[in-house]
Amino acid sequence: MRKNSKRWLSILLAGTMSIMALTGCSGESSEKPAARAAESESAGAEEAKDDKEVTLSLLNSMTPGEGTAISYRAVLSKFEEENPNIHLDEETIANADMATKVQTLAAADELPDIFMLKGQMVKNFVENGKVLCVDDILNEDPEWRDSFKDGIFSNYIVDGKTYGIPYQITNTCVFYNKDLFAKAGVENFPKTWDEFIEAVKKIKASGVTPIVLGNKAKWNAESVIMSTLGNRCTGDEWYQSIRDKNGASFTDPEFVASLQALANLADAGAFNTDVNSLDNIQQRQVYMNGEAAMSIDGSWTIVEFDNNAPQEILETTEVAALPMVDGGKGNPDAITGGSGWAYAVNANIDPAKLPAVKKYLRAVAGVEFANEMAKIGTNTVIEPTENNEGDPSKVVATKFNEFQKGRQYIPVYDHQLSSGIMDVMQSGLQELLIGRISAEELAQKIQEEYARD
Amino acid sequence: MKRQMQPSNKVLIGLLAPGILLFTLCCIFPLFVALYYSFFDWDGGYTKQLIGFSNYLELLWDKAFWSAFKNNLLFIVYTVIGQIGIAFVISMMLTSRTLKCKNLHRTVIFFPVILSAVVVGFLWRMIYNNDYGLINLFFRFIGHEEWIRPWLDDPDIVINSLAIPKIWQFIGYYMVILLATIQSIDTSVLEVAELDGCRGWQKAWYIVLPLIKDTVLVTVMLCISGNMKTFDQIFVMTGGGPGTSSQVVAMYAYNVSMERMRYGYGSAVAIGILILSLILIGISKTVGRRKKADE
Repeated sequence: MRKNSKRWLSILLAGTMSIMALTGCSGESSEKPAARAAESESAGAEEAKDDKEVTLSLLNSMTPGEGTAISYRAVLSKFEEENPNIHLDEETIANADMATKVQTLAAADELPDIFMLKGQMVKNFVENGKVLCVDDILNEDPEWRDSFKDGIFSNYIVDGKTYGIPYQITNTCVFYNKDLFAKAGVENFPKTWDEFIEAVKKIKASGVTPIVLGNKAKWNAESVIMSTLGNRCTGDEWYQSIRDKNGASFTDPEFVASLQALANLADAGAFNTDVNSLDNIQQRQVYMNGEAAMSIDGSWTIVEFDNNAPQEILETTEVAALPMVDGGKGNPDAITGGSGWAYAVNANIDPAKLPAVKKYLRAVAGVEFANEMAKIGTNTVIEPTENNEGDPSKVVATKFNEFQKGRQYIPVYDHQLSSGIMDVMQSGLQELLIGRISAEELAQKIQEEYARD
Repeated sequence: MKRQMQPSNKVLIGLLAPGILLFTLCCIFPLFVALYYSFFDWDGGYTKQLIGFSNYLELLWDKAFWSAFKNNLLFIVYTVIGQIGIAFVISMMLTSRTLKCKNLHRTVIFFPVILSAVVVGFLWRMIYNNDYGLINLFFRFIGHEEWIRPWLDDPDIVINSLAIPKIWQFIGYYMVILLATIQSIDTSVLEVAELDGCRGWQKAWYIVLPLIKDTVLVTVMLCISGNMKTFDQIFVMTGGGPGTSSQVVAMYAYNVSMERMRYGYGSAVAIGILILSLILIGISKTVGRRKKADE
């Protein structure tokens, strides 16, 4: 009996020790690649032969059914065919969870070889040595590097070095139902904010929701409305000064005016009553059911419209830019545009993997991908060599293509400003939309967080 | 004989060790890790800066945290009254002789407990939906459209709207606990009370409640701890909105750490939650004990 219990105890102790050994081991191995990277930077790259078996771990948001994912799968299957020696260990999660996931993995030091990085995170990741500079990868293929549109890397450059390879541009605009406008007696899409509010009142009187917005996830109002509206009032200089911490403040009258413009719009009854509990998928559905005259949304929704909306809605849908605010300093024709997410490479990657990484990135962020994206009507980071012109099934995509030509782009707040400011602004906008906070109070709150940052 | 029945200390330790080891690794160890991080200004990278108690000082004056805590307190009040109160009434009914199909009732009432909070959240989001939700459909059907409210969009009522599914889900849980205790009461006590002319609510209030008081205290404690860590259902239904009006402390800790990448401050918030929970449970215990001493 006694001997038995002793044996059990020893087994138990051995078990504990082995668990400790295991955890200790994983800690070591995460440091190893870094050491190796430093030691054999040049030698490692040369050693790697094309036919060597390589496994790349990936984290992306290419969930089945989404527009970008359709294009991604198309180029990926080609890539896998051409490179049988490169194995992809892919993890796919919803875009909504990506920011949290990437940040958590980074904090735990468990980032995969290639992951997705949001513009606003870049600075933090660079400071903490989590992300590899991709200048070398880009410079190896100048043709590819130069094919990117101007300024596309701007969200991903820190101290002159590039840390991310963008793959898509998202724009925001107003989708409106011209039949419902006509029924309410609104002839043309309004040009100024006052006309806009008048139009909203007329549409409301005709019995339909003027604007449907699904702001449950909180980023929606900020990303699809406020970024544009803010620029209409403040212009580019103010924003640049905010970014550079050059004296501008969120309590400046021009920014308060933009919040006030949104408050006035909400006050006129523009939005659905459940604006903060509807999500963006439900938002789309309300518009596709013809129950709302406008839906302010991003270009990612175009492919959903073309695939799922009834024909009569497709035909009556038009695209417009958010109206100009009187006395504002912004460009009335500009729309938001930027690449919110980019591919990034783990700073601790084994250098032997770099040739495979380059091949992969070239395949999924190159002109072939741009062509696939153009087919579904999404704006691209590289000018496509083929497009969807003449495809009768892409009704909204064709209209959007026509609409966005030659427009200047405005940066999206959440692509560039820190997550703390975004958290305060986005929560505050929820309250602003239901009249629970005044424009001045919200501006004050955002400024406090900005000053603390 | 007795010696044979009682295993030796070593066997006892051996049997307890796996559980304790698991608990230490999964609960106690992370707790100390959080305590450690709470003294740092850390945004998830290599660089951590020791800042002593600054995080805790900030926490003390953090309006967002205290408004979230106020919401937790509201939930505790609602659920103690709603869950334990209703569960007590139901278990009294289930012990009465006149009720038929007791097993069916018990199963149906217990059923929501086994559902995941996320499922319940989605379910109730549909029930509260403005255009197609059951509640609004019902109000339209009976011709009282003026009763329709933006259930999850009005900061004044959003806590109530969130408390209802919470109460609904866990009535069964407390019912099972209370029912078991009520059934263990010696039937002769109740029979004597009935002979003395004690009926219905009198029996419940004067006879049953004093006899099961210890269990009720335990359920109150479970309720408090359950509500201090509440997260999932609210996350699914409102995400803390509109604005921050339905934010709870656990969600605040999550937002601070995961959205704003302030892991140090997030850890301080988590430790703050722990301290507040311990204080609340301490209060509920002393209140219970004092009442006991009064008798």
